Order: sequence, then C-alpha cells, then structure tokens
Amino acid sequence: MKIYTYLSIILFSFVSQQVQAGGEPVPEVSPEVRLESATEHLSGQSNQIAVFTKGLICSSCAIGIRIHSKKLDFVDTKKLSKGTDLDIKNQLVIVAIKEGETYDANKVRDAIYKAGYDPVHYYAWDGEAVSMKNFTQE
Amino acid sequence: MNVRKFVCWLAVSVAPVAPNWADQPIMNMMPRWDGGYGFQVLAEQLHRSDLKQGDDVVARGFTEDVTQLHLQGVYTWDRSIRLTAKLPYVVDARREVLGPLGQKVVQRDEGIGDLTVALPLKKYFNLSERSGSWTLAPQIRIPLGKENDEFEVWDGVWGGGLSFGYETETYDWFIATSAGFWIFEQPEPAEWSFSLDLGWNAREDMQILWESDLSWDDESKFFLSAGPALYWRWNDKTHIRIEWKHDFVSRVTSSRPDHGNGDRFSAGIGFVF
Repeated sequence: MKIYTYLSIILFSFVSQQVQAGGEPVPEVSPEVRLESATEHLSGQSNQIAVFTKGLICSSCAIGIRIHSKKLDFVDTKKLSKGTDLDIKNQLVIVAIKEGETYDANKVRDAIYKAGYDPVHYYAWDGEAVSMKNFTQE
Repeated sequence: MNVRKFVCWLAVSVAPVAPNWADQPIMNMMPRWDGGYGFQVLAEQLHRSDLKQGDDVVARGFTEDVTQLHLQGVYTWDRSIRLTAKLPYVVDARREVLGPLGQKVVQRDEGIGDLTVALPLKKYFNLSERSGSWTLAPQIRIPLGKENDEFEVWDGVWGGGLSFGYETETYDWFIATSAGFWIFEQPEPAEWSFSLDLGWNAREDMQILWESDLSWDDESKFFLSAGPALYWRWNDKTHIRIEWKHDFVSRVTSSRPDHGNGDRFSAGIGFVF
C-alpha cells in the first residue's frame, strides 16, 4: 500500500508541475519575434552575430558553446561572457567578433554543433538592418 | 504535454523490463560537448537503523553506517558517446548484526570498492523549446575491493549491466528516467532498478529536484528511496550537488537478515573542462 501512496505522490507532483507551468513548456517564439530580438542585440553592431540554435534551454548550455567558440581566432573573448552570450528565450547565441576581423559563420555553426546543439541560421547587421542569413552548404 | 503524451511517456519509461538508475558523472548532465571531460568527488553517508529479514524487523536499533567517497570521471568524444568510470572508497563502514547467541556483533569494512566503467551512448534531440536525450549505457563492474572482511560494502565480483534512460529539459523543468539491470558472478543476485527524477530550474544556475529510486533483486529485496536534491552551477567549470534520500520501502531478502529503514545523504563537487 505504501508504494501506491508514494507513486501517487510522484504522479501528483508531476501533474502539479505541469499545471503550474501552464501545461506546456515555454513556446517556441515566432521568426518575427526572434528577428526582433536579434535586432535588439545586433542593431548598429557589425562585430556581433546571433545564431538561432535549437536546444538552448538553460544557461549551462553556454559552457560547451564557450569552450568551442573561444577556439575560433575571430571571436573576441574579451567581450560578452568570454565571447558569447545566450538569449535563451529566443534561442539565440550571441557571438562577439574581434574588431576588424572577418568571421566565418560556418565555423561558428560547427562550434555550436560540437557543443551539442543544433544551429539553424544566423542574424547579422549589414550596415542598414539586421537580417537573417543561412549558413553556406559544404 | 497533454495527458495522452504523458501516458505514452510513462509507458515508454517503465516498459524496458525494469530499471536501473545509473547516475553518471558529471552530475548526470555534463559534458555534452565534443572533447569534454571532467571529474567529481561525492561524499556519501548512509545510515540504516534496523536489522530486517524480508519486511520484518528482527533487531530494532541494530544499525548500519557507511561513509564513502566516490571518485568519478568522464570523457565525451562527441555528443553521442562518452566513457565514465566510478571508483568508490569506503572510508568507514560499521554494522551491527546478530551473533550466534543473539548478541550484538559489530563488523567493519574499509578500503577501495569495485570499479564501474560505463559507455553511455546518447541520442540527443534539440527542439526550439526543449532539449533532451535517449541513453543506452552498457556497464561493467570490476572487482577491486578486498574480500577478507566479514562485512563487504562492495561484493568484489565481476558484473555486467545495461541501463536505458530518457531525459528532457525545458526552460522551467527537467525530467529524467532510467531503467536497467546488473548481473553479477555467483552467488550475488541480479539487480534491477528504476529511477524517476523531476526537476525545477529555480534559477538559471540552480535546479531543485525530487528523485526516486526503485531497486530490487533476485532474492526478493525491494527498496524504494526518494528525496530532494539540489544542483548548483557555481561557474562554468565547477558544479555542486547535494541530495538526501529516505527509504520509504525497504524489504530485504528473506533468506538472511540485512539492514533497512535508512537514509542516504551525499554532497559532491564536480569539475568540467
């Protein structure tokens, strides 16, 4: 009997948690909202890019991303948090680029992938606006 | 998650015959990145308050106390494969058993325990609002502990095990479940276990969990332990975890007396690179 009581408590805890969380996890933001957020991060800044990355759900995700992205020559590890920041709610990895350096977006993509996450596309300031860009196929 | 999805999830979680929770370094969650590695030290204190046989208490107040340090390491080749090693060291173990005349006899143990090496194979999935993984972990137990004590915390026998796990996390919550079994050299019985961990990301660097473990063996032992745990990311490299588990059900084997009705406390610090 004890065990059934206990399993009921577990089930109740789980259901309560779901109810408290509104029954659904934080919903995926729309592409428009994500672009808006990327614009806030990047507007007027040619030395940062923002990468939409699936799987970003906690700040611990940044550990592996920082480890791999700081190996890239063009990443400015003196800016942001050792060169990167996360905008978890919009699933964006913000990467700081060294002043005057040319970045290779595919290398950023590979660094994020090696950290265990799935980069989809990225945003950058092109001098007039922030726009979405696709990684080049290899 | 709607009710239908939840029922399917629960069925998948429990279906794989039965279970074995298999806590893995570092803190069950890292490193996920290619070339990542780390180690952790866990200090564990176990106290069991009665000597039982089956469900019955045969000697109330005959206690068992075990203090161990666990040194554990991990290397991640890429997100799909990692290697872990877990080596326990019994700092002090003391138990009170019934002597031939019914008197209290104290037995002790100390020293290195048995090494567990595992090869967790993981299939991660990354969604826009959720991330998680499926895990299949073959494991072996390598006997390193000495076998000349009356009391052996570790059995000193070879063993092989397999565990199957699923975990997923969102911005707010975390769920992990695993099931598995161990088969040992004779005369040690095969063991089965199942775990369910529910977590809430209280802060961006802190997770509060409620963890439950079920375990049983071929000699009709059955334990249900559960309790809270706290994970704290101090910084990128340093991670801290404390947990407490209480035996809500502790049925020991009916063929001989063993200790039950216990509590286990552990505190650990881990480092990842």
